Amino acid sequence: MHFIDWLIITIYLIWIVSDGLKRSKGLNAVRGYFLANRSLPWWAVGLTVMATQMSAITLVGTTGQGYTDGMRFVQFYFGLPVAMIILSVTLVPFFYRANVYTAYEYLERRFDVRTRTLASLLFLLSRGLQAGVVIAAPAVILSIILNLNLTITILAIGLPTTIYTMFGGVQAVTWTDVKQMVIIVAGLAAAIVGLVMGLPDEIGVGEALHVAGTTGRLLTLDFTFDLNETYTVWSGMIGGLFLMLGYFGCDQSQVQRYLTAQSVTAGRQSLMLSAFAKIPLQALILLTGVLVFTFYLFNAPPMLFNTVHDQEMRSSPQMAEYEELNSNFLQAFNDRREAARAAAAARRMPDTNGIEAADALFQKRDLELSHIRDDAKALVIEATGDRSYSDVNYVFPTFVTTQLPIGVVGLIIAAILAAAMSSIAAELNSLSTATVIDFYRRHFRREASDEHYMRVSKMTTGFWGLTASIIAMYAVNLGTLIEVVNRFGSFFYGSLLGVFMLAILVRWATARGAFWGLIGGMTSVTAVALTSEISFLWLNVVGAIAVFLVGIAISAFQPSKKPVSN
Amino acid sequence: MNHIPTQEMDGPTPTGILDTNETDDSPMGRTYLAVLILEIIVLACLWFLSRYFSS
Repeated sequence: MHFIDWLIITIYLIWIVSDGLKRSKGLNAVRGYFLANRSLPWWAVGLTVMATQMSAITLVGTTGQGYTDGMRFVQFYFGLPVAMIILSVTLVPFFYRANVYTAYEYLERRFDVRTRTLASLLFLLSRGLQAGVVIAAPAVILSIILNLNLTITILAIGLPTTIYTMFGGVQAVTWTDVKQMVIIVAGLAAAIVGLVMGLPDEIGVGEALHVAGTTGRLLTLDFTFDLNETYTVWSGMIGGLFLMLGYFGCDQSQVQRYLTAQSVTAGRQSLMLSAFAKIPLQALILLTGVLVFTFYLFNAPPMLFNTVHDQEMRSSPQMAEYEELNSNFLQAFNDRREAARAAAAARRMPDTNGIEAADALFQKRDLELSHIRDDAKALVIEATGDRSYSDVNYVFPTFVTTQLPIGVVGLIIAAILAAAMSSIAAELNSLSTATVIDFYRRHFRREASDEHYMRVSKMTTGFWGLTASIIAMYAVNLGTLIEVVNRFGSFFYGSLLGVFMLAILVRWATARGAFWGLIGGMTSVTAVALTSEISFLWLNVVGAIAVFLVGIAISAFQPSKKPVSN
Repeated sequence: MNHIPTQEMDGPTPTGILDTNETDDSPMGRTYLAVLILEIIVLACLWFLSRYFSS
């Protein structure tokens, strides 16, 4: 990478850290540190909600999915707008008026301390581990793409984020998130311009997309009802709805964002920003991946996007076989390029039979190329023993660093870092809040000065930053990164959502019902995940319903069923 | 300091579930409707693009 690109990345890091640290001035109370004194405008909260959700995994993994699998991943988000409306009507005013720091505080008011502690503990466990994955995922990719030491890359992401989150609190998280969202969108726009300009002069974007469309990459809606299929309209609308309700309604990393809004209306409006923008933005990111595919129809792609494995294979006992595959791959690429040109040219002709024949030839050539790539991946799996091998997440960074001009490369790498840091900062901030409010202040030190709690809060943020970085160093074999993180969340979100549903919808639900319902939900999710091939999105539905039913059943046998008054 | 009231495990059912007295905030009904309409439009656009480019 060129010196100017490194300079852009360095300027970005200094700018973000110094901006975050500026927010520490005058910060002397826990309410300001964790809730920004409930003073933030809706648009800033809305952008931080989006930035928190969009990690580097989303940016890099989704473009990779667009390249290999097409647009169908967008269905994952179909439940989000409805989830945002439900949360705006129910939980947002509820949490806001309850004057809580964490979502789990409410569970103690409604049920008991045991349910609150268990829910908060589940959050700390899942989010703590995910914070490590969120650092590790881009670090592994960037260390390979930029040829950097992995530990240094992890520290380059984790350390600055921890510093500004530790000293600046939620104000630093929010205002840096706003800037980071701007950088992410600018980086994405720059990549799209680069991709369009990288097409041959005689090929228009529409023609290129038509050619990509013949491989099924532009298919977005799958109405098949199959519980084992991850991305369908139904899994997105139903499973995705439960996941989003759980994530935005019960995960402190998101709840804390809208608790900082200056009013209930501002909190609701912040969620509406995601409701309006998330699906179009996600479709744009996937379309970027499809455009990378169209770019590599006319420009030779590497056979494997992970350069480390490519180099390993060239010096392995399977070297001769690998070289032969590479030679076949280049020949197959040339054949596919000609077929792609012919398919694009056929669309300028009036003869529809010509289009069908050209498309059929292109599909055949694309399949041949895919088979060679599959053979190469099988060879890597054989040589390395890594059964989860996938180079999907290397597609976009490889394109950026090898094909885009100086300056743009720096901007997009900064955008990937921004995506990572914005998510990690919100996670560290919320982990610290749950630790201090739900555990330290609740169980260990109930009476102390604000100064004392501030000190503990900063130390806890630093502790979680360090822990996440250490977890990141051990997080290997991540597979398709975005699925790993979402799959992991699905084990917890459904159950957490179930206990909140029980609290709000069943007036006579008891503390014992909630606690054992939560245990029952977690057990059900684990049992279903271990014994079936059901897609992880449906686990959210299983968890929520299991908690709800077990909770109702146990509550029904409780002696006291006095309804709760408003 | 905001002290949180505590309860005995499985004791009397606590007070205050969902306060639905929304008096201090603006109505959002039209925004919600706009979100739903936009989602339908986005899905229709995705379906149309999908059909158009895959034909």
